[in-house]
Amino acid sequence: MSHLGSRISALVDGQLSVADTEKALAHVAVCPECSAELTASRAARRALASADEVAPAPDLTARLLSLGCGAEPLTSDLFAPPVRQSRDELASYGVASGGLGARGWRAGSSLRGDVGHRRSSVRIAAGSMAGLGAVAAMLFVLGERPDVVPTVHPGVDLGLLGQAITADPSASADEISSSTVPVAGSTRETVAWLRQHAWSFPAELPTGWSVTTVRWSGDDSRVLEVDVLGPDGASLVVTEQQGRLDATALAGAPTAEVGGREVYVLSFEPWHVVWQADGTVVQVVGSQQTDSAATLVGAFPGGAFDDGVPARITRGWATVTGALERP
Amino acid sequence: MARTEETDPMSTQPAAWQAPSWEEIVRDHSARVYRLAYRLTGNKHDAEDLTQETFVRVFRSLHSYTPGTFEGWLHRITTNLFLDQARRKQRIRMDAMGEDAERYASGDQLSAPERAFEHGNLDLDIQRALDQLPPEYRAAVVLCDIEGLSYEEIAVTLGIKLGTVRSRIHRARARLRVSLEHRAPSSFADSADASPLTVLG
Repeated sequence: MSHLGSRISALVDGQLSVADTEKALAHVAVCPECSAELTASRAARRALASADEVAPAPDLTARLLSLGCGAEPLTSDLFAPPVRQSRDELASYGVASGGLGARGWRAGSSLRGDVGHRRSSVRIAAGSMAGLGAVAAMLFVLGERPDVVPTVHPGVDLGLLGQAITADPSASADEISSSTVPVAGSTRETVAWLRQHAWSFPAELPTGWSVTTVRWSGDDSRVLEVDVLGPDGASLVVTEQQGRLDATALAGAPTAEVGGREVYVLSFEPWHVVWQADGTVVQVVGSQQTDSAATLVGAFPGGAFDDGVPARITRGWATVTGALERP
Repeated sequence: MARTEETDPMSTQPAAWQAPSWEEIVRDHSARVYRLAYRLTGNKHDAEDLTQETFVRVFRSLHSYTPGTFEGWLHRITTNLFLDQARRKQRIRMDAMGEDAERYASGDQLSAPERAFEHGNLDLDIQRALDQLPPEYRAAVVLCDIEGLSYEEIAVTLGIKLGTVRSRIHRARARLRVSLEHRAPSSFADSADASPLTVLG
């Protein structure tokens, strides 16, 4: 009989039929070469099987539970262009416009304090037309909104959803960087707060929907995340940020009419749609599309992005006042 | 109303089967997936990436999962992802130089000192020996000896014939023997005293 060859491994693993096993063993008994092979094969198998147990690190399990990649990639990559100016950036704008000739313009310091700001802008407006122009110019500059390119990454979407589902605050507290819950209270209060602060949100949520959390995310907390819970127990994550939806970057994405609104569908599973509502880019992520989700999308107010001068100045003013309430 | 209703995945799912919760899936299977991923990739970082990628796939296609062995499904996703990555890396390195083909596997990773203490250093020799195997051999032998799969199960997991499974495992063991004897003769005493090896791979 010829040597056993790869049947040695099958023999070691008990993968030969009874008859074949007997034949193979009979051969091994008379063939020192195959006998040595068999011993060595068994040793190799034992060595591997004796390999120590490795256990996943607890933080990996936590990431899997929340479907990980959520918070961190979201803040760093997803919404890359800065959206709403932080106080420091406002200060730097103030210094720049000071150089335009507005003497005594102390926007850098006045914008940092809640009190000084209104007084100093009033003084400048009263002082000269040049000062008035500087303010208008500054507001115009501040009213500019960067293009927003939504990124489609299922991991990020799933991470968002994962966070929304784990309602346990102790588990998610570490995950959400720089999170400050701007408002907590009943759904009605939350909705009122959102609308008062120029975020796009339905005046009245459709029946059965409620807001569970509102939080800031993103660098310098420029992205607002609202978790809403539907009547069927499915939760959606609404993210909003100031900016203009970059339609050219979405050229390939299918559009669909959801609840009477034209939206870009970035992904069906998980369901991820995005649209422009005035100066805000609204994205909704859910595990899948449902009728009630469509109703919610339809309930949002909003229109196209207006880049005219008055609209920009209005937004600039909103930025100034909004910055003062930033965490 | 929604124009995309035909994509509703719930309609394809049998009503009788109750999907496990995500937490149950992670709790029940993450240790197994990680263990497989670690033995395949040979280091903690890549193993965590592979595990995470596997679970992202699982989450994404959970709705289309038809009841069967969940373990088999996870094995399939993990090894296929690993082999895809390994082949991509291999291609890149071949393109880059082609000079050091021996080391295309996760090769030198364990020589980095910080790797040595990832999971204790008792079985470093075993992992190093595994790392030196071509990815296809490594996958077969890990599924067999560490995961305890039968040859049939391995054939299904890797999408290869039964005979191929047998020969890959056989060759993998022959190579493992050589590198284990080379590295840690003491832990391999059984085979050493039997007789010197004559037939290899």
